[in-house]
Amino acid sequence: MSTRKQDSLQPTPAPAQQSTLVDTVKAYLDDKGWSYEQSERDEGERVLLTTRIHVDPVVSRTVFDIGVSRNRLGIFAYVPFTVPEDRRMAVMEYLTRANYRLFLAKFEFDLSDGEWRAVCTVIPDDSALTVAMVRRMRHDVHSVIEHYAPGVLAIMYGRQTPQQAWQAMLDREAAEESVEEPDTAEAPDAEATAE
Amino acid sequence: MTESTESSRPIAEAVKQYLDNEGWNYDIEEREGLTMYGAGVTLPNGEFRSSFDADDGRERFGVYVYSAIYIPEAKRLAVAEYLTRVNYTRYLGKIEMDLDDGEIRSVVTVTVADSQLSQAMINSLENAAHFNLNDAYPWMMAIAFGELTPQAAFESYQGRDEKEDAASGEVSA
Repeated sequence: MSTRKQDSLQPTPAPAQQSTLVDTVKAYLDDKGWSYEQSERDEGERVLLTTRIHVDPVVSRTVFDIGVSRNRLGIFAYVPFTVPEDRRMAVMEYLTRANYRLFLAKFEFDLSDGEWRAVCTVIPDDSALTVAMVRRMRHDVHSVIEHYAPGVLAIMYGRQTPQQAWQAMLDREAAEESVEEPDTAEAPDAEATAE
Repeated sequence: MTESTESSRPIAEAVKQYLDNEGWNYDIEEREGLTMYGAGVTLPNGEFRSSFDADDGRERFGVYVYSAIYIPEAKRLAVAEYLTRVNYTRYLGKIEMDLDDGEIRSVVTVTVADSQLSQAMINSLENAAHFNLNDAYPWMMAIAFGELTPQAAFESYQGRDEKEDAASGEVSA
């Protein structure tokens, strides 16, 4: 039995290995041959590497957001549309079901403006961030968009209910003889293409 | 339990070392290459069940923290709205709900491909998973078993830092 102070629950930043994070992400993008724009935020505290990736059925603006002193990496994959207000509750229900199945990536949905995105984050602490880790994270954020975006679009434009869109997604999985989730642990890294 | 060596299960061994060092009482279940360390945990806002899932075959690790209270069917969409708003503000991990039965859990995961799972990393993930659920829990319950709306709950949740002064309680795991 252990006893901890409540404040020990607060996530705490770890020692920085900033140059390694940026270099590792760049090494991955360069290896893929993807062009990207580099920018900085918060007086250099954050380095953003932004690229555009074709992920069927959309082109995703994807940001590799590296927290320099906070020693963290977030990959944010945006879809090129927002959900209209009258469809947001339906999409929220669909994405809630999706999130329950996802291991590494997650969907985030801003109910105030309809923006939704797939996100994968990591704080390596004193472990090394490897190109293989970036590859899996990148693959996961895009594969979940590819897998679940058709349902969101069907709710938005096809006037399907969340239940109908979910069932259609399950039917697609069954037809493709898919497993329980679009898992990426051993997945190849070749299907996405830069715009 | 399956016999295996440390070198073939570095993630499971790292998690075991962490839990032992931290003095956790836990049980172990192994299934299809997954080693799950389970423990009860008491936090300021509730009692939960935690599972540390080590997957050496896939080089990944996840911490799951389960609520002992399920959300009634009539309130699940309202709680889902609240959780959607909360999740948008969280950097590490997410709080999930199974809309079919109302189960709630907090999840933080990581891949350690070609790397290693350090003790510090396990600590960060464990803290984030417990913090996320404990932090959002009171308003979740107020929606589920009271009359609080998701919007009002989220506004109150966002303002919690200013009001929160009861964070000095002891936490036993």
